[in-house]
Amino acid sequence: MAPELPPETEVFAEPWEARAFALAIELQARGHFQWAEFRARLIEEIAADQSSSSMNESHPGPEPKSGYYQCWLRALERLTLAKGLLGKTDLDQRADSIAASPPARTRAQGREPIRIA
Amino acid sequence: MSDHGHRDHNEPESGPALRVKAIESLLVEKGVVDAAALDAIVDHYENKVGPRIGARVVARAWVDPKFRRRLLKNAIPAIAELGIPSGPEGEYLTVVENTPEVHNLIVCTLCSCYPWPVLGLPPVWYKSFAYRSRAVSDPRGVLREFGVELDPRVEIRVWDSSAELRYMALPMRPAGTEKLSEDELAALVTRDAMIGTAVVKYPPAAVARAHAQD
Repeated sequence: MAPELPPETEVFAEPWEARAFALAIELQARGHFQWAEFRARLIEEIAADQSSSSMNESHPGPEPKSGYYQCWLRALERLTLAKGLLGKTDLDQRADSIAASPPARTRAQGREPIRIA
Repeated sequence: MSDHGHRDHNEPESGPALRVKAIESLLVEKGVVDAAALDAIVDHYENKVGPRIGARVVARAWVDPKFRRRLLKNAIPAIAELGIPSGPEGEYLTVVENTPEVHNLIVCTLCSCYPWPVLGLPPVWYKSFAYRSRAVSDPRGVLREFGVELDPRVEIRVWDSSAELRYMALPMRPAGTEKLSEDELAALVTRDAMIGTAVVKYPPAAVARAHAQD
């Protein structure tokens, strides 16, 4: 096997992109939806994003206006709601509560001692 | 990027990061998904799969004509011979062979379908509107922008990927590589060559530049 080379580019620009990606893969792997169902929504989101960005510019930008993984995330959210895996109200409330109270640091998250005497 | 799960500041989250966190936390709570499984998926795509896997497949196809035939006929069992799993939704893979007469170019016109098991996740430009649209309308122009000037007699075939159909190009083995080992051959194969936006060069460009400076 050829020596492992460093990746040419970062796979994910932000940690949340990786989580959104993994959620779609895992839900599909567990049989909660077919990949084609996810892809159909992703295509819709990319197309909607593209057309909204094209209205202001004669040449569409190189990337969807709000970013590829934002389209991915909207597709994921729509599909989980449509499949009844989540409720819209529950989701909005959970987002509000996470925003209001950032998770406390735990030992598991810390890379440094919590306290040095 | 190595900091997943290690946000070490306590700022409130907002925007997409918050939304993903809310979705994940609810799904984990309901037992629909398992956070450790999500970690494993992220690790797999960030650290384990990538174009070096496809390069191994290409090198094997170059040195073993019987393997090449099996690969072109039915790619998934062929890559399984090399210990490469087909991936979470990668039971679909077709390898298309470049020849002196035909050059293959891979695109997903509607989103970003890509042969994950052999190439990992796609580069940013593969997902761009410009590439998705122009690969079909002006493939020769796109190739020129990637620095690939093909003889006008070479036919360009553009393969549009979908959820069920994923493609990888089998690039041509460059001349002068007869004495290279399989590993040395694999090291020549670039990601773009397996998408079809590059050709494999020997000696590789970096080496050629180094010699030019001697």
